[in-house]
Amino acid sequence: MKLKSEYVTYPVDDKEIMVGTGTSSFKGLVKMNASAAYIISCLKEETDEESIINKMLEKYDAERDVIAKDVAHVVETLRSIGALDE
Amino acid sequence: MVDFQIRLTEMPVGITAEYKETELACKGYFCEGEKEAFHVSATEEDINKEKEYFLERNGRAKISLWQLERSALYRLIAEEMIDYDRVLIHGSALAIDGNAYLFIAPSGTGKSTHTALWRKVFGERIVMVNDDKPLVRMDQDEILIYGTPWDGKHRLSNNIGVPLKGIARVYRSEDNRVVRLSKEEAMTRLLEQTYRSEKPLRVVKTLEMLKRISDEIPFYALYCNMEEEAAYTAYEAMTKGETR
Repeated sequence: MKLKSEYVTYPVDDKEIMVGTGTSSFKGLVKMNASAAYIISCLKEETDEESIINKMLEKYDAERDVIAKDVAHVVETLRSIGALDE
Repeated sequence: MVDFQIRLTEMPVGITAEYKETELACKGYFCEGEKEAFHVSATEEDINKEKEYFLERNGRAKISLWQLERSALYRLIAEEMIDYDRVLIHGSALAIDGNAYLFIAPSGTGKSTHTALWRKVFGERIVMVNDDKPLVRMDQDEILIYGTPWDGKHRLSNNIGVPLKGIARVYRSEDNRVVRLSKEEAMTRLLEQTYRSEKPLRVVKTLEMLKRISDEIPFYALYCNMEEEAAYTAYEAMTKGETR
């Protein structure tokens, strides 16, 4: 899976926001903390949940279960607004 | 076919249009023989797309071809303007004593009704900048808002650029009050009323501009009715700056 190219991210202070371009069906704005932003940055290239979890484990000092849950949540959110190519 | 130039945000822009009415509607903004920053003309595809947008918003309402061409041209202009540090924000902008204030909200909320109240209350002190689709320019030292010929159904605009000093998201309400919003809230609300490109890089550039606007310009939520008191309440809060 991969984030559709019509979604862009942009840093605002200590957060990251994601919005769709004029062609995307989603017109709102998604606000993210640093770890969600990292998950989305992984999704800018073709990947899967397992690979993202492994990358996160290298970067963050947290339990696999906790990270897996975070990744699943972000992926689910992106899926719900139609932002993923799968 | 007509070919003409208009000066927008202090930049000469060339237009080729199918309809004479499209040219006539740009009255007050013409210039001649200047070096164009860019040139636009609407293709049949642009006009068909514009018709789809129009029907989406207005159901089966009627619109003439030249009006569709006119909207399509502004979409093309707004697109190019992003590269020149200018962004189109949907709203009604006025100037009082040399400072501009912008009121944003979805169509039908009462932005124009509210700025009409300012004209009623403050009379000749008010100069309308643009009643519908102003362009906002990121200058090195300040942010300016400009009149353009795309100025709403009452055709209210002046060919001027004025320093932008405050923005309010308008909400209809029984009473009148103003709340200062955070930069983050400002960004979200601005985005809803800002022209959004189909090109990712231009969307990023637009976000960059909105970020600067929310950092530098006070942003408010204005809850208001249609009484004159609404204009006084907004004036007090917005022209006197810090109200947090």
